[in-house]
Amino acid sequence: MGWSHEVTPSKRLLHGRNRIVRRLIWVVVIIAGYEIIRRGLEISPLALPPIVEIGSAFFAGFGEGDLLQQLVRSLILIAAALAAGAGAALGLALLSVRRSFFAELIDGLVAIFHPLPGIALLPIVILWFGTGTASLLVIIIHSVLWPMITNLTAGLRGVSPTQIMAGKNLGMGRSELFFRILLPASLPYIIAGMRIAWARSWRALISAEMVFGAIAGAGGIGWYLYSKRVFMDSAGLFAGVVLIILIGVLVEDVVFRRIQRKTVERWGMER
Amino acid sequence: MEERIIFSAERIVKYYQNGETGVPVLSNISLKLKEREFVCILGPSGCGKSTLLRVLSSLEKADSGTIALDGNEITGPGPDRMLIFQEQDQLFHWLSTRSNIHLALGKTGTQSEQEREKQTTALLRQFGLQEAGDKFPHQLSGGMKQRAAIARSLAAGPRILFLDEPFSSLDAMTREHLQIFLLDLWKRRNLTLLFVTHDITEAALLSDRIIIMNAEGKLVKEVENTLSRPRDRDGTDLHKFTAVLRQELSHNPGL
Repeated sequence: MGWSHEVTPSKRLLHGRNRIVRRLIWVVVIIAGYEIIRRGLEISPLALPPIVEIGSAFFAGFGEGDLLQQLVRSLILIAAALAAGAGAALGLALLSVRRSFFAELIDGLVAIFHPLPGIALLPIVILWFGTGTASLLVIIIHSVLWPMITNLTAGLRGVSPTQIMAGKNLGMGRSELFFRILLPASLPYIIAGMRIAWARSWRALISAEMVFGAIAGAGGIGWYLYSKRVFMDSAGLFAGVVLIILIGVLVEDVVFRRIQRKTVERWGMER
Repeated sequence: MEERIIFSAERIVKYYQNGETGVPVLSNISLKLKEREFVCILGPSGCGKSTLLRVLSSLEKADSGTIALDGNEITGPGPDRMLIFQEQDQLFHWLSTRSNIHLALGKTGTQSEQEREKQTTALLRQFGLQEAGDKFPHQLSGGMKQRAAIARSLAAGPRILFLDEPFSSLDAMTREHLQIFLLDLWKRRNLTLLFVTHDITEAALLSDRIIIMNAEGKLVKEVENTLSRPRDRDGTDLHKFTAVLRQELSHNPGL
């Protein structure tokens, strides 16, 4: 909790616009640098394809529907797994906070699985579930579940006892206490957890898709990248990477930054 | 005129576990509150005053003893007894001042939404919080936060209000202002108040009756406060009375 300083709307808008402009300038500088190095050192277009080609591959990918379709497939998978993982994490975190018996068990599980990269589990998961959507879901849920549990338990434990008592005093029952007090009070931790979960699952998904694609041609943005490499389509490969970067930036800036501004920053919990 | 007993506590005992042995925090406490009475519990810091209020509002369990409202024994927490905390984080910081108050308004469902809005606006005005309605708790001053907390408690429609050193974390000027504000509120709304404090002048200025609690969690003395109202904080009568109270406090071992 910090003191928030006054930011007038117009100031904030100017600030935000400046940030975007500055960022765009850097993008232009990087693109220019890329082209200068590529041409200056006469690097093969197979290793560093011209920007124009990457651009046209990017838009061609969207136009033909291939890239877009793969992307949508990947994002739907992530959204479903994030929702399932977050729900499961919430249940386990509540259990851990309410019952010390489960707290030890869940702490133990988190200690074991939290540091384990999802991709390391892939061979086992393939053995159990094959190379289909089920395996992808398992890998993503694995990368979402543990950081979410860690953050949610910290958040739930950190809720002010005074506010819980105030809720009980107002006659709130168990579920009302949960939805009206515990959940909103631990929102900063939930958002932080979702951020880590998103970053991890996005990485895990792309890696898994590359492996699965290699085995069965299963699809997804990872598979798109992999197939471009197989066909030596460097421009397409770079276009895929650019798209992955764009998605990352968009989710962080548009989704998470916005949620943060509308909630915890507005409530004075964070700046 | 004999006034009706609205709230009573009988032989409340509570221990805190300390290794093998329990340390008593509340030792056999009994008290009665009459309707529209303003009672202060005066005692040193850490004597169990806050624990007592939490037990009386059923937010903490006692090891033994009973509490009764209007003669009926009660066991669970509820808006019939609202507790104002000392801590300034009792407002829900994710809700505006208006929503904090609105949330507490009679959950019985007999009122229309329009009626609730009207009541919320009226409370905001009465508590001088018109400008603060759409602000969030972190944007309010300490005094405004405590006023909003009292407004929220009253919105819940309690029969009795417990206050746990509600002004002790405020600066002196704000505290004096809020003491007068509370007295005015008490008179206008016919409230029944149990107010815990370690400030002798505060107890003398506010109460009808003062109960002294010692460091062992015992109620050791009751003093009627017969000073006529309105009282003058700087008057000789009040100074004489605080001297008496100070004498009483120093008589009791463990203070």
